[in-house]
Amino acid sequence: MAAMFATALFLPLVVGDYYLQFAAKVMLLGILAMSLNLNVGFGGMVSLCHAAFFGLAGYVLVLVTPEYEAPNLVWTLLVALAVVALVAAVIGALSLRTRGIYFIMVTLAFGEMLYFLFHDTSIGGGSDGIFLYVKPLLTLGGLSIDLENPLTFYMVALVCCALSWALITHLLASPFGDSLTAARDNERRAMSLGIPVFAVRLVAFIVSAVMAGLAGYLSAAQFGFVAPQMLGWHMSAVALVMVVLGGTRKVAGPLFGAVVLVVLEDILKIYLGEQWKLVYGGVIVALVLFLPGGLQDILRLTLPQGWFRRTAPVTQPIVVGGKQ
Amino acid sequence: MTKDLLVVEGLSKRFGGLLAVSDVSLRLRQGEIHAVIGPNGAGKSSLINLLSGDLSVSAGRVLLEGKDVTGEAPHRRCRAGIGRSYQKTTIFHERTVLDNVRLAAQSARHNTLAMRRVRSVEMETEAAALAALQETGLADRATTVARQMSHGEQRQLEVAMVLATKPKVLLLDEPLAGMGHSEAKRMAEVIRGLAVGRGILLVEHDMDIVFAIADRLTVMADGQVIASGAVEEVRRNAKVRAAYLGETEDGA
Ligand SMILES: Nc1ncnc2c1ncn2[C@@H]1O[C@H](COP(=O)(O)OP(=O)(O)OP(=O)(O)O)[C@@H](O)[C@H]1O
Ligand SMILES: [Mg+2]
Repeated sequence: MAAMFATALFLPLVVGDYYLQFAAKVMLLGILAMSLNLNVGFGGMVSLCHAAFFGLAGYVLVLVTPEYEAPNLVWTLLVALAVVALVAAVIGALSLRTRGIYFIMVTLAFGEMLYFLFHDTSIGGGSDGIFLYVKPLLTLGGLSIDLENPLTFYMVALVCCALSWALITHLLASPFGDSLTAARDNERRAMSLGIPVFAVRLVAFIVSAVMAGLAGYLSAAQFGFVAPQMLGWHMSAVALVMVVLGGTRKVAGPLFGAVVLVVLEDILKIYLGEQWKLVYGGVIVALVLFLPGGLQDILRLTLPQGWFRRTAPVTQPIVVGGKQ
Repeated sequence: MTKDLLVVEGLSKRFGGLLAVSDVSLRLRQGEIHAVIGPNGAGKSSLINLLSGDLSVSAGRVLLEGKDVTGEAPHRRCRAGIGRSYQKTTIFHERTVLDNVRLAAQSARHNTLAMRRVRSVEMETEAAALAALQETGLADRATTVARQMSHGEQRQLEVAMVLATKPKVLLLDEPLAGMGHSEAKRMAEVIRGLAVGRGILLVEHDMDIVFAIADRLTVMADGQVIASGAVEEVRRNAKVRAAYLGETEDGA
């Protein structure tokens, strides 16, 4: 994976600005999907409000940006992520008291609350959304990072994407990662082994929300515009489809899910025009059904235990030397 | 001098209209195996769940070394020194034997939220894990994936994981269930060895084994304790013979 990120550093040498922007967009969605999968695949928490964290960070950037003056990259980012962390702590603390399908519904409800907060009030321009006229800028001595520049933006997105991947990989290899996956595999046993399951899940939820926020911040900076759609359940579902497509067992899986989905969307838009959505839906359904792994995992995590066992091949203990 | 590790006072658990555990009191001393027997549905597993915190009590108290832990969550009780195994095997099937015990050792005694590995902690965890495997006779299976072991070995792992948490008190819910005869006998010896310096509450159906390794015996029926005391004493108890060993009170 590290090699792939390194190779991506050279993309600007072979393609133009349009494709760089496209690649940056894919990587930001990849961050969102990978962060979601920290919860879904490794935490066993199928959240349907990750777009809300994504969009919230974007809105915060636009709202704290002074008119006609370049926002400071560092502090606007810190403010945006702090707000997301705080909101995630509250949503997590309340929704993590439920499990499975109920957790999905509660997170969905919280996500929609944030959506309507921006859709129905004038905080962020209502349903029309709001523009960001000048993009974040960081000047450090002689060096300046200006997100207005497509090449710079691409590099920033690439670095953030690689860092997100590295961070999740690192976390999963730590004792915290052991606790998180143990709680996913058997909550009761995890507790009886001394793991404070609720606290572990809450931390994972907040970390993942903050990463989704990073993606959302950069996304708002890229398009110079935020709208309530960024926070809605539709966007959350798209992220979940990326996770399912890419597979839940590998950290980078959802990143590839994002690539497939966004590229598919673009190709279909070009060749099919108006009807693209119909085919798009069909192809996704086919991919999800015929690529086992992701979907099965989601079902196993959300349905009550007995339900799934019946349809899945039961793994029998192997009989050793006639024992058993 | 033997000290009381666990003191249980008037413990009850109500499930709707059913009193699954009714006013149970008992003591568990250091170095002692205290067996709990009783017919199916007597409330043995429920009792263990109350002691481990998996179930919340309806009434009564649980004291660990004199400290009231009645309201504590399961993970806190584990860290305080109460380790438990389950009647239905709850090992992590996709992980290796060593990873299972390592997870137990790490979770019970170190920071479960730690976001990086610390060398000294890793070494301590590894040592505790290997010791637990050694004590339960699984040392040569360390690299096997748990799912691929025989049922008996999985039961051994279930106990090894409890051991790796370095508990003062072990609550073992039918650790020999489903094991072959010779396997069960070997495991019984292992359990006897575990009692040194610890206290063990053992739920078990096999009478021969209970009589062979237990120091004290509590008999439960319909959630209640019908007899409790030294093994020989309880064995001669007429009420027990009638209710549990299937003999009539005036017969025999
Ligand atoms: N979570 C629960 N909700 C409702 N009733 C329960 C629950 N757990 C146990 N019971 C009931 O409580 C009674 C005691 O069950 P328990 O599992 O403690 O018995 P046991 O002595 O362990 O039996 P066995 O030897 O079969 O393991 C049974 O009647 C059981 O149906
Ligand atoms: Mg039982």
